[in-house]
Amino acid sequence: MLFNTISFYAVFIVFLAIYAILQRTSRTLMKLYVVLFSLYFFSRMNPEVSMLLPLTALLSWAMTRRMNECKGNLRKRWLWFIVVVELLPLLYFKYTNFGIDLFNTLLRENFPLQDLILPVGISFYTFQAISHTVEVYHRRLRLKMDFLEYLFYISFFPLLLSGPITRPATMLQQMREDEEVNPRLLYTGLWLVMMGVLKKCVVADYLAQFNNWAFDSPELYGGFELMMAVVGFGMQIYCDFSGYSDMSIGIAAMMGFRLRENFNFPYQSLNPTEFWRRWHISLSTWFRDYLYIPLGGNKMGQVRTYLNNFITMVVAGLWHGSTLMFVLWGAMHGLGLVVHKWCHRLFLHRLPSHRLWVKVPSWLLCQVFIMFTWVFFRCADFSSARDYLHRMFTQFDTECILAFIAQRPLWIAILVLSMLVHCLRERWFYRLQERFITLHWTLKSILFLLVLQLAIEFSTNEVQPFLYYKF
Amino acid sequence: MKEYVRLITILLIPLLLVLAYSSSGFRFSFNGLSISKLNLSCLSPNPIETPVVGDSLSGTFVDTLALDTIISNTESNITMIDTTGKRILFFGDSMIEGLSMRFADYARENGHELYTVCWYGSTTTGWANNLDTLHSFLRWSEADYVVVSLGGNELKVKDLENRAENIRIIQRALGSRPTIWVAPPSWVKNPTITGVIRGTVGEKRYFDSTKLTYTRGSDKMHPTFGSASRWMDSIAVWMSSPQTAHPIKMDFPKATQPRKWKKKFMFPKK
Repeated sequence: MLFNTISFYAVFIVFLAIYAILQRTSRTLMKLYVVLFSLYFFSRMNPEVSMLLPLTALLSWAMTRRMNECKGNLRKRWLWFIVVVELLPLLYFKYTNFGIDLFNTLLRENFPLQDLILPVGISFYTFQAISHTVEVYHRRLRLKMDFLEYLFYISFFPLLLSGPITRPATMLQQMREDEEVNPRLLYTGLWLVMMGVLKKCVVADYLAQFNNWAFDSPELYGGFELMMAVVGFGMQIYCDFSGYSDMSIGIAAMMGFRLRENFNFPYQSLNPTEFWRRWHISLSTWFRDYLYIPLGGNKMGQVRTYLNNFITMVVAGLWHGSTLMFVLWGAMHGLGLVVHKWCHRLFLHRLPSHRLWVKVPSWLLCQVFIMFTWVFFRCADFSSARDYLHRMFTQFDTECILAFIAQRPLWIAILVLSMLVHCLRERWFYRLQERFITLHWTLKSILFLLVLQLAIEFSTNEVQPFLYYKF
Repeated sequence: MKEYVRLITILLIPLLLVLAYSSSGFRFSFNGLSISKLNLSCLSPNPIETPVVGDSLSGTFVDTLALDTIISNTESNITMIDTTGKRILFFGDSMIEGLSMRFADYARENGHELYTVCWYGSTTTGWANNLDTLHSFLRWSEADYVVVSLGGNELKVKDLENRAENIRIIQRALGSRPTIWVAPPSWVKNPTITGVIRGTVGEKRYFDSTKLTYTRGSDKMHPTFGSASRWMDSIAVWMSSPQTAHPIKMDFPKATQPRKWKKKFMFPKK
C-alpha cells in the first residue's frame, strides 16, 4: 500500500472522511484513530514484524519517562542505554548481514548470512525515537507526551516509510492545536501530492527504465549513453525521493499538519556544503544535531571540524545502506565537504560569489562531483562502478549523440524538462502553488484528474518501489 | 468541515472517473492516440504476484501485469501437474530443429500432439511483425499449449525495449494458452535477450538455458543433435515441475522410435 498506488488513494479518501469528523469532535479520538490506521498501515507493509513498532515505542517511551525522573550522571547513563536499545532493532535487522559479510571478507571465514527481512521504515522511526529521547534528555521538549501521543508521533503513517524525519516538538504542538484546519494548508497538501505523483510516477519511473538497463549491463552501451544514464539517475533519485517527500508532506498537510520541506532544489547548489543543506534536509539536520554537534561540531579547531564532517558523512552513507558502497559514497561526500571547507578558508571566500564567472564553474564542478558519486551509490560493488566509469570515459563517441537523441526522444524530453523545471526560481514555483490554491475546486479536480491520467499513461505496469523505501 | 467535504470531492471525482473508465469496455481514442486504462487487478486484495528481476534499484524488466491479466487466472493457481494430453505448438528460430526430435519422443510418451514451426533466422521482431502468420499456425495446430524458442539470433541486441515489446505482442497473440519460453544457449558472454525474455514473461514461463553446457555443432551456431537432446531432457523436467506456471506431464520417454509429428519450415526472405 504505497503512496503511489491507486488502492492507497481509495483507502485514504475513506480515512480522510472519518478523520475530518473525528478531528472536530474529539482530539483524543482523532489521535487514537490515526494511531490505529498507522499501525494497520505498518502491519500491511511488514506483516512478519507488525508488533515491532508498538513494542519498541512502548519500551522507548517508558524508559524515556524513567530517564526524565533522573538527574546528573544517572540521567546521562539512561540516555546512552535508551539510545542503544532504540538502535538495537535497526542494527539487528539492517546491519547483521553487513557485519557477517565484513567479518567473512576480512578473516576469510564462511559464516552463513541470516535470512532477515528489513522492516519498512525502521530507519526513519528509529531516528524519530532517538530524537525524542535526546530532546527529553536536554529538557528541550517542554510539553510531555503521553503514550498515545508518542505512538502517534512514532507511527504517523505519512512519515512512517521514508520520512521526512520530524522532531517531536513539531508534531506535539500541532497534535494538540484545537483549531479548525486552514483551507490553504489542505490545498497546499493537494498541490504537493500532485507534484509528488508527477515526480515519482512520471519522471522517476520513466527515467528509471533506461537507467536500469545502462547500470545493469554497461558493456552494451557507449560512453555517451552511460554518461546520460548517470545524469538520468541523478534526476531519477531526486524525483523519486523528493516525490515521496512531497506526497508525505502533502498527505500530512491534508490532515492539518504543517511539516518542513525536505528538498530545496538541490541541483541548484554551487558546492557540496550547499547541496547537503538542500538535499534530504530532515536527515542532514538530524545528523547535524545528533551526531556532528555532539562530536564537537566546529568548536574544536579546524582539523577536528573536518574530521567531524567526514565521520558524519560516513555514518550517513552507512545509514543509506548496509554495504561498503554506501560507506564509500558517504566518505566521498565527506571528503567533498572537507575539501570545499578547506578551499573556502584558503581562497574561495575572497571570490565574488554572486558573479556569473564564479557561479557557473562552481555549479559545474559541484554537479560533476555529485553525479560522479551517484555512480558509487547506484552500482552494486566497486568493480562494477570502476568498469562503468572506465567504459564511460574510454568508449565516449560523439557520433552516438545524435543516434541517442533519435532513439530516445521521450526519455531526453523528460530529462531536459525536469531539469528545466528544477532550474525554476523558487518564488516562481511558490507563485504557481499560490495560483493553484486559489483555483476553483472544479479546476483543482480536473488538474488532479490530469495528473492521475498522466501517471497511468507513464506507468510501467508494475508499481515501482521508492528507492529510499529500503533505507 | 466544509473544506474537507470539498477536498474529498476533489479527490473522489477523478478517482471515480478513472475507475469507471478503466472498468468500462469503452476506449477513448483521438487521432490514433488512446487514453490508457488503469490496471484494475492492482485493486484486488491479493493482486497477482509479479516476479521482479533484481531489487528495486536493479530491477530492469518486470513481468507485466498486462500479460498476467491475459493469461487466465486458473493458470496462475495451478500447482498440480496437468496430466491431460495437449496439442503443443512449438515455434521459433532454428533451435527448434534440434529440440523437436527429442520433444517428439516426449510427446509420444505422454499423449501430446506436437506441431513445430521452425522459421530459420527468425527473431522476436519477425514474429511480432507477422502476427497473421502466427495466427495461421495457431489455427493449424489448434494448440492448447505453446512453447516458444526465440532469441538465438538476438543474443547481443541493444534495443531491449523494442524486444520486450515484441515479446509482449507475441504473448498477447497467444492469448490465454499456457505458454513457456525457452531461452537460447548463451554462446556469448552476458546475452542481453535472455534477461528481456525472463523479465517480460516471468520466471514461471521462462526456461533458463544459459545455465546448461552444450556441445557446439560444426556451424558453431547450434548445439549438436545429441546435445540438443539433453537440452530437451532438461526442459522436459522443468515443464513438469511446479517451477512452471502450468506443469504438464512430461515423463521420460522409454523408446525413441519412431518419431512422427507435424512440422512446418520457413526460410528467411531473400
